[in-house]
Amino acid sequence: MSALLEVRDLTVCHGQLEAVRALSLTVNAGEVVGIIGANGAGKSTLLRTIAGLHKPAAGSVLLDGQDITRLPPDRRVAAGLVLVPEGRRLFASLNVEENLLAGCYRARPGPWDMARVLRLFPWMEERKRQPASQLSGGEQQAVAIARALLANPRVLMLDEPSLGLSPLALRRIYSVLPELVGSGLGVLLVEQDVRQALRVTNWLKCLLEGRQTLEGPPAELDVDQIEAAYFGIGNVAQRKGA
Amino acid sequence: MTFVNALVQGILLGGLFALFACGLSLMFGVMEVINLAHGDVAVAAVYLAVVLIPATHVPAIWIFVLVVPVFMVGGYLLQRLLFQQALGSGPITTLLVSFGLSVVLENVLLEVFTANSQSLNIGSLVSGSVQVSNQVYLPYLSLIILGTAVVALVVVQVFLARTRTGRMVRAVADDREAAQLVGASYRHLFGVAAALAFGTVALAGLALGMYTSVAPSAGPSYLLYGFAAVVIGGLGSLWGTLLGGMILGVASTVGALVDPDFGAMLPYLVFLAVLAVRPHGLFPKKVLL
Repeated sequence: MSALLEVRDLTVCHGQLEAVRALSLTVNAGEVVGIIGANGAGKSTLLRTIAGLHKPAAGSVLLDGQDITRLPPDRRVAAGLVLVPEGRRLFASLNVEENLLAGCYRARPGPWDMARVLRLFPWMEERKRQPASQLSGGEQQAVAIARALLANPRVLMLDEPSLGLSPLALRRIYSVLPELVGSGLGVLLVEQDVRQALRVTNWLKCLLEGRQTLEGPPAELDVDQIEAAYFGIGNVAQRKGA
Repeated sequence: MTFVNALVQGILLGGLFALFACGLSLMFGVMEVINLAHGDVAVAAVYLAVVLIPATHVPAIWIFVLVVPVFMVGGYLLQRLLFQQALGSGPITTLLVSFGLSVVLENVLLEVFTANSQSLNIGSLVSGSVQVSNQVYLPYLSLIILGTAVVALVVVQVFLARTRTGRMVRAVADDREAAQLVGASYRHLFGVAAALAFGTVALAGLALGMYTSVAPSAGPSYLLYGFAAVVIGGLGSLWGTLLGGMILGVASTVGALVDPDFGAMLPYLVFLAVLAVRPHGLFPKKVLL
């Protein structure tokens, strides 16, 4: 069975700098793959390149076995790959409902419609007409995720959902993850908060300066290993797990 | 002509200015294109009508039904084929390209139609008016033009506020990348915005052609008024543009009470005054609606 999302030897350059170096990963249906790393490790660049916002210098991205490396970002959404970008990026002059409707623009057929999304986040119903810019960070994050879900993705990518969120808001956001995966989605998650990442993911990768320094199921990774991989202390590039 | 009458006439005129300027506002608000050919497009619309009216036997008052769609399609194509290429090279390039377009348009019109001015003959409608009170009279033509302008602006507003595509045009104006991430082709949406801009300015041009006569070189002076309306209202805000148009219209008719030359100058004085006091315009938030 081929993976839902497969990234092969992806290399991304920002001018002279190699932000991502020959990185590979897979995400299967029903799985949450997490990526952690210090600032500047290349995590966001990786996600943005997979989404089509950057052109890779080398490597390929496959969705359900199909090579989408040349596809522009809007076509990737139609193919089932949706990114919730860092910083939420809601449409500021639109209200909550209009932001959600924007998510339906290129929606594929699937289980996620307005009704289901509003069941997931019941508070959105009464705040429908509120301008998106007036929401709190946690609420904006929820709307951003709901907007992405309405496109009925096969693979959902989340770029640092915890940024700027209170612990309560964070917990609420992550509490919906099981339902998402339960509906057959594959999730690729970049997370600043390592503890959170350990808690919610099935497979974790650590990045440092664009290279992978550690990967494995959270249960088999200990704190010292992660610390070493995160900061590049001692021997880098350990591999664990299969 | 009393003050009240001038005020009323100014508001009627203002509707026309607003219709003219809303395309400028749209193109800047959505894709940050300053279209220096905007005025020339309005003039070109009149000339197209001048050609089509005898050819199709459509009365002048209805010719917009043919001309506006042609210009909407033209605007979409021009955006996708010409301005889109320039957008990649930076804002100066876009400005230069639109300037080049303006020069080309003017000279093509000059070449084909000579420098004579043209107007659209709508017969008896030109002279009639409605007497509202002792001092206020409303020319039929002005009323029709104002009515058309209001309807067109409402249509644009409803399109942007209520339809799926209109919503995405607003979204892409807010955040182009985020729009791509929900599956929108920003190039197509830019084309839609340009189609709206060219359609409204063509309509405004036709109205102008009924009101007065236009010559191939008149484009840049209309552009100046359009800019003034947009800047007074606040770059990128459609309602602001409407208000800016009204202010300019009233300034020109009230100024004319003093002296025709002052009537030509007062709008620009108001423009300078607004720039001095509120340089970002009356509605500075860069929000389309």
